Amino acid sequence: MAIKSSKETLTSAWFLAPFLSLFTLFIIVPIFYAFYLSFRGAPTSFDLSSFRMVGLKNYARILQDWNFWSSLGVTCLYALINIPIGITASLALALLLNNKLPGKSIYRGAFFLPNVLDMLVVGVIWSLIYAPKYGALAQIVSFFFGPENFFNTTGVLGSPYTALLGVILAMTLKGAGFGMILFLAALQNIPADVYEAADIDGATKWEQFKHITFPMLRPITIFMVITGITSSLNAFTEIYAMTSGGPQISVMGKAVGSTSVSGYYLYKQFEAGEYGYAAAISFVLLLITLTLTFAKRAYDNRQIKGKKAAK
Amino acid sequence: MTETVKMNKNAEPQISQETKKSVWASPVLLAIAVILLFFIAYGTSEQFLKFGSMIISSFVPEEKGTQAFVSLRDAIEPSYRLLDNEYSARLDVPEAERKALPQNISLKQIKDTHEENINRESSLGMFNEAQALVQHIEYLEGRSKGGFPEIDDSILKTLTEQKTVIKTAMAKASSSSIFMAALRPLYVLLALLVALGVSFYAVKLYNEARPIMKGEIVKRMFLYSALTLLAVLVLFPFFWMLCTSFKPSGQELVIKSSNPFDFVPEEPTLSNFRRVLKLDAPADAAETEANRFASEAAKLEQKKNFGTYFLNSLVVSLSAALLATFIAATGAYAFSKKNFPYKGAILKALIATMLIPGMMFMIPQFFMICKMGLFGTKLAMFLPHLATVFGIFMLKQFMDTIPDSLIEAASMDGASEWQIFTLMIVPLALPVVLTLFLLTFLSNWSNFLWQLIVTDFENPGSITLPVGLAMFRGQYSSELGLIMAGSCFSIVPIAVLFLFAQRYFIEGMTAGAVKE
Repeated sequence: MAIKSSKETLTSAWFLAPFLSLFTLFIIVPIFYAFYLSFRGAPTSFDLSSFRMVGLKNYARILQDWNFWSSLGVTCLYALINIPIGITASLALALLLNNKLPGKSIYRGAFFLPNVLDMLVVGVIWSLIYAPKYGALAQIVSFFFGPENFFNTTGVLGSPYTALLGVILAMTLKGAGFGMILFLAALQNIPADVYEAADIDGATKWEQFKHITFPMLRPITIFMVITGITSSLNAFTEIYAMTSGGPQISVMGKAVGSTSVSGYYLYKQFEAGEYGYAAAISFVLLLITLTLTFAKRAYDNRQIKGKKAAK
Repeated sequence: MTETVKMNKNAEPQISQETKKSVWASPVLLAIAVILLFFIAYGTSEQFLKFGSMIISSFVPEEKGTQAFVSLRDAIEPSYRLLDNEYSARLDVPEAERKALPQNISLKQIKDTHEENINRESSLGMFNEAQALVQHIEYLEGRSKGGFPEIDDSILKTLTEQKTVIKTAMAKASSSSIFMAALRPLYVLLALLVALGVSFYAVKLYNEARPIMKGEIVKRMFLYSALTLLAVLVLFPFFWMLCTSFKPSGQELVIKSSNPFDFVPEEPTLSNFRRVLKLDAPADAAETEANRFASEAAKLEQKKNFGTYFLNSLVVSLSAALLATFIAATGAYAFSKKNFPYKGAILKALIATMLIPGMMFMIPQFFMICKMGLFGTKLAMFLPHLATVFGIFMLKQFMDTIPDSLIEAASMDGASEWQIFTLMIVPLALPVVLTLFLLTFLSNWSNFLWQLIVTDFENPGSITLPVGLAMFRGQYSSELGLIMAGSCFSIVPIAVLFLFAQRYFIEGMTAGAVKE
């Protein structure tokens, strides 16, 4: 028996070797390596030995870095607007498609298609649609309201108050098909007799939606919120392609980028050669993610306990 | 309650038969309605409007050379000549010293319309032209006030005086032209009514043939219209991209005065694609010692085209997809069918890393790649992303459903572990393996941030499509047609692939969520 199991371990090791070695090298090692780098300063040359040890200075700098905290604020704002709009749009599409309709799969494909297309290209196209003077939007609005309008002179991405909304609209139209598929699958799993019973009890369509449909879709909604938070923390390409973090806006007397999300700010530090500082920022972002994860887990556990207590 | 359920179950085949027959009749008719609706949108465009007004004018002949036409023509003439001379003169100057024309102006188009209107003696045409002219003068005034004068002050002063003349002529002419000017919205309304009539009639015919509930028809029509509108909204950027990429240089900025929704190029050209592929590069000069360096640089520059970028992206994404799928398949097999120490702990660690934002790994991975001496190579583009935890779970979940007895029977028959894996497990899991292959291909095709930071911009062999497009946009930021032609290289192949493998894409991408 012992011989057999050790033999099995050996064959498993062979099968696991490619995956585990790459995983360790490029996922596990970087976590510690980033921590190590976060105590180092900017290099004086491209040689890695030129990194000076700076101790905790990077972390002290983060605490005072107004631009970093504002980028976190923009990330929160991005998530707070983007997630509800995304969920509403996906749910609306799913409800429209959750009917007996010939040719339904064509629409399904059409809504899903932008999801598989390159984010950078989609961002570039949208930035040109929004562009003042020659963009498609300026063209349409100018036709009806003359050339002196907001879309033709400033452009959606040119004003700090609308730039983030412009990005969100583009991302919603790109990503709504994904949530739609999830909601559609969940909607089709709700048994029809629940609605029949509600009909008999005289519930209106809206009451049925509020008390049956929406609660049944709760797991998908939670999943969408979680992936939304992750993608807000990872947001970079759309900002790079559409706004480059701008336009600037003055908040409490300091100029900050109105669309400079944390991912973009991290890239900017990297681009500027502040490798040690960028590593420290990565670490702070990681801590924030972990805190959120644990908070969610604690909340789940409390709910499960609450349910058990109720029983 | 149970009885009704039973009844429903019994009734089910009948219902599905009913809908099966409706599957063909109803969409064909509605498709006609949708096509008509499209033509209405397109109907505001020049060609269709001309066709429409031709029909209508055969009933209501437009009076030729009316008083309105003559007075409008005379009012327009001075300002028209003035602007024409001014803008034409600018075009004679060499391009480098040229003072730019105001945005949104196509001289050729304006001249053509003007001549056509004069020839046709059309009062409506002259009225529209006068309106456009007044708008243009007001635009010039606004620019001048705003501190960006597009034209000399002396000319602008004359134009401002002329504006009042044109406006008076317009006011006089409007009473006779108003019918013709109102033709456009009337025409759209008419087309809309016809389309609605046709679809209602079609539905009525269908209804008589196979009665279904009336409410159902109205509901369906509403659903189809809403879905079509939304689909147009979602797909519009890509439609605009395709249209613009075929427009000749300079023409993509032209706003059509008749219809702002008409983005279809009138004279499609492939010149943008030729330029992004650098097909028309100058022939190689004779290679002397002196110009060797210059010609080397030119050759390098020549290689920086979208054909190269496309091939680079293809090589990177294909090798990444092949290797990642292989690695995930072997790993998943071990996790699913084998027992080894710490298996549970390793799986838990894998799940934990899935939560970490990918951004976190960027900086250390970059230094590791540099230390390995891989900076600027194709291998660096995908090596750190080969170990996909998502892939492991996706394949493991499927392999868990393969019964162990199958494997035991095979090993009894003397099959080696490798034979079991390649001849039994992989063929059985083929649909999932294919899905994973597509997904990793896709994620490497559009992995912009990572590819951007490991690209060596001097080496054309390391520039992938998204990075190439970002570079290209920096160079030609105002040439829409070129940027759009470059975008096509990334979008069109994936869109075509999606058409054929839609099911795999959708199932694969949503697999992570459905499990939860």
